[in-house]
Amino acid sequence: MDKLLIEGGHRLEGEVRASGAKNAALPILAATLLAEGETTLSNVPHLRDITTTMELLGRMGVQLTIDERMHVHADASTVTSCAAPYDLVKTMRASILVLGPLLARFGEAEVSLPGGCAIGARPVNLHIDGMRAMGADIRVENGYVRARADRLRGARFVMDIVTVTGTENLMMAAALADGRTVLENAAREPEVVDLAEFLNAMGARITGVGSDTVVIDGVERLYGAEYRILPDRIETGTYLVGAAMTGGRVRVRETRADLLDAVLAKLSDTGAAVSTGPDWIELDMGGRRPRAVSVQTAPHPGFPTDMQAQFCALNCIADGVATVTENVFENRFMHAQELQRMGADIRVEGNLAICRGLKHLTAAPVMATDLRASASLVLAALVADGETLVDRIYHIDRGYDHIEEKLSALGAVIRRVSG
Amino acid sequence: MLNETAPARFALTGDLDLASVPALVGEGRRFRQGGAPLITVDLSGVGRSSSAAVALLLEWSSQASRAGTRLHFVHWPDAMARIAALCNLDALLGADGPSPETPTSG
Repeated sequence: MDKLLIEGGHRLEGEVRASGAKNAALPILAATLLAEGETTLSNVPHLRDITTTMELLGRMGVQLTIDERMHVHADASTVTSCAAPYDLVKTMRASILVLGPLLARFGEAEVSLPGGCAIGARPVNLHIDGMRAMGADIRVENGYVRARADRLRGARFVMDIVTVTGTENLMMAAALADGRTVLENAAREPEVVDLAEFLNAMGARITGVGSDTVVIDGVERLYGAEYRILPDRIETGTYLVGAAMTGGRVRVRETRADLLDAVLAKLSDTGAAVSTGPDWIELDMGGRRPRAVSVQTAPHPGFPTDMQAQFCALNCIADGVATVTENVFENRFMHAQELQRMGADIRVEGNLAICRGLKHLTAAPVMATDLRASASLVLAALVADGETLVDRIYHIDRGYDHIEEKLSALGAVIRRVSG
Repeated sequence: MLNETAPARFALTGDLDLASVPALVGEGRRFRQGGAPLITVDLSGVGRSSSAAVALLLEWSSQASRAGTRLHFVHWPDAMARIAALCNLDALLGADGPSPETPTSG
């Protein structure tokens, strides 16, 4: 099992390119099932979950190739199976995203209930209820969701909680439904908007994305399209936090500042100079220690839950005391105990983490417990005294494209070790 | 196209994509005919490629292995090596380091 060995105390300086957003690429790959004809996707990140999704689609019969520009070509005209088996789905809960496209395009789907990330309950009942409202016959048995429909019908559906994958799945299902679907209390995340723009590029008629009411007028068929995945705002934010923590200066290019308003405001509150351009964001900490900043997570456009752990790490070495409140997911402070192993003064009370910043953290063997928690440990290791060994980095490989190469390019001393 | 240029030495040429690769899969039988334990396949003549090319090399390697032969792919075009790396097959197919036969420049 790979580990990351990180020597702390080196300031991050330089430029790094943002990869494509995993959370946009996964639903967009699933949406290729809807198209008649070949789809070409660019800016697809090189991540394990992407590979898993491609294997899943490949097993269904989708013809997938990668060309010399690293563009992914997908042709779903050769689909022979509408099943997503447990052995793949268990490793990645986003596999549930094939349910809507399979049902809408082929009239049937058999998808194992998801496993994946261990950060609290994220039920799929809203996906199922929404598709039932569109006329699907769905049974959940033996760990599988088995769905059938001649053709889905447009419906009005109110989601009682905001769910990103639920909104995406229902949007894809509704794209080929008969009539108008209205999704109320829809997720507003940029990745949802990106999926809608991709579907519209394929011929869908979706309006209202980015608001909490999405309207989908179903069409008879969708066609292949060329599309570039939007940049990863969480990866972007993580490198900027790294610059702030190490007192450095980092420019992230091929990214978008408008995806990160809440995060950039908080980074400015740390005392960093944050500047932006049409496709870049730069943070200059000027060698200073950041000020502690309190954050509260909320659905977009609020502060993203996927940046919470990184700000915990920042607050552990910042000047002052700050609280981090997690309002989106349960059980998402597993990094706190690992940060304590590095000497951090961090206390968790329910959905609140109270961080008292220290001038120094100390290296220690630590264990990644989920994707963003592992990012916080890497960031803490960048400033800790000594060499930190981060174990179970398969979590980080699920969300960060070439993290050790990118951090090395910025001046970090980091290497991957096996065993 | 797969040409035998010397005993236990082949050259693969042309574009390798979904259109051309299926016809080449069966060519792997030629690696089994000479009985050599190691066969070198020169990739310098490969034009445009996609992941279909990597799949072809993987299939040929598998066929050769079943016949007790090992394939050594040399002179990887950069783009093809990148695709192999993206598929995490660079080490398996020998695309992850300088080939012993890599010509020096200059």
